[in-house]
Amino acid sequence: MNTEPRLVEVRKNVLKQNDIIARALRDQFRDAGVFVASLVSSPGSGKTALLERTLTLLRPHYRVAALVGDLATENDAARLSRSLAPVKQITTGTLCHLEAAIVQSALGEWDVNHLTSFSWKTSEILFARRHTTSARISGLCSCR
Amino acid sequence: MHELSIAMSIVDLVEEEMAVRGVEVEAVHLKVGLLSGVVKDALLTSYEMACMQTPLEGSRLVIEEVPILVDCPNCKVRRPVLSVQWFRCSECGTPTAEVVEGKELIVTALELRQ
Repeated sequence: MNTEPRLVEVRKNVLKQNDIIARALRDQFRDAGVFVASLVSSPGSGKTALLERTLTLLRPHYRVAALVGDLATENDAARLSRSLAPVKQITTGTLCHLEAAIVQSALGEWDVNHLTSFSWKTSEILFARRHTTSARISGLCSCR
Repeated sequence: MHELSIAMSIVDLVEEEMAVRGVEVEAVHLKVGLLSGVVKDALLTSYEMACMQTPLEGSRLVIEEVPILVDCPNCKVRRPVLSVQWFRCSECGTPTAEVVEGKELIVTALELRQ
């Protein structure tokens, strides 16, 4: 009697749906010539401070915008709004990361063609367009 | 702790396969890249929870970790990186972000119940 385990090959990507949306977002930013940066680091390490300063310095020269993710509060967006750049808060509840679909829906009515730069943080995302720079966007970022 | 939602996606995906193929599954084989953002131990614990009251209850999750490989622009070959925090070719030290392996999160095979 054969006692070897019977294996069937499947090869299914667990995050397929996320990857599809992330690729579409990446293409959208690349086509619009928007530079995208994703800021991810430990709590308290200075993501918001860095972004606040960056937005303030870039805003007079570039069309910059930022998306910020937080579990509960809108404090980060309020802080970043002082730079006068468009800022949108994503409140994730109990989720500690931003999935591509969440970013896509948060982009909502923003016309990326009118941005030069964009960033997000998962806490935060910074968008910036320079006509020579292609966009980079990470599909799934985590805020550990 | 996004491992629970990932574990639930795995259970959904495998349940679909089970229905299509008409089989029972004893173990699920998964490739996890070191850049997938998934913590192995957290995923194993989450998997057990995600399987509760499903046809996969009692099944095992067999994880194969995939190291990070990059295309080194200097050596012109695939090389490991020095570390996750030190994204440089392990041979010549050239910085590179051209990841060719290490982002996987793939169900590769199902071990069937005899």
